[in-house]
Amino acid sequence: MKENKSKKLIEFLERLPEGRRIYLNLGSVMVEVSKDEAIEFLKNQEEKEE
Amino acid sequence: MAVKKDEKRMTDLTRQLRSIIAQIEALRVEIAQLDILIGEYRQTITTLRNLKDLGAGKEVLLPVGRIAQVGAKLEAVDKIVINIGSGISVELPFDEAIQQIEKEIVAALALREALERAMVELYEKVEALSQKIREHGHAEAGEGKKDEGEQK
Repeated sequence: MKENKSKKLIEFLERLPEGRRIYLNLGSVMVEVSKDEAIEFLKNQEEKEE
Repeated sequence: MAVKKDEKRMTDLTRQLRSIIAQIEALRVEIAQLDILIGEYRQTITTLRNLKDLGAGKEVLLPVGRIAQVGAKLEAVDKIVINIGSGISVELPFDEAIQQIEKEIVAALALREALERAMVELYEKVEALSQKIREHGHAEAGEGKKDEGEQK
């Protein structure tokens, strides 16, 4: 279920047009990241959950 | 021996009934939480639309902690940062952001409906179990009267 959600989010990010800002929520701080960094973050999270 | 068997059956039925009632309660809590979430999503859409209508340059108060607020100037509300889950937020154009929130509302409503259906099924089980318990109770009462008659 979670894996499926990550997959959907990755697809969503990949479809995003260039120039859209993406942020990682780290506690109360939001850090701007590139699309690749966000996808990498999701993939890492997926691996950790496995 | 038969009495013990009857008691065990009654205990089993009562335990099943309690378990189902607990499941119904859990579903009720989940549905209530979904209602709050749906309400918040709708409120978010309203707030975003109102901010957009107010336009750039308006002074707003930003909450800092629970009791403090600081003034800030509103920029044009044409881009919204939306939390899409798993710790990621994305900047979306206003209309797309509204659509995204509406999609979340639709998903939450679908889940709510599924939980309600599950609750109806559980209520049917409660009804059936209650009937069984009543029948069992009547049967036991009948047996008791028969025993009393034989003793007299």
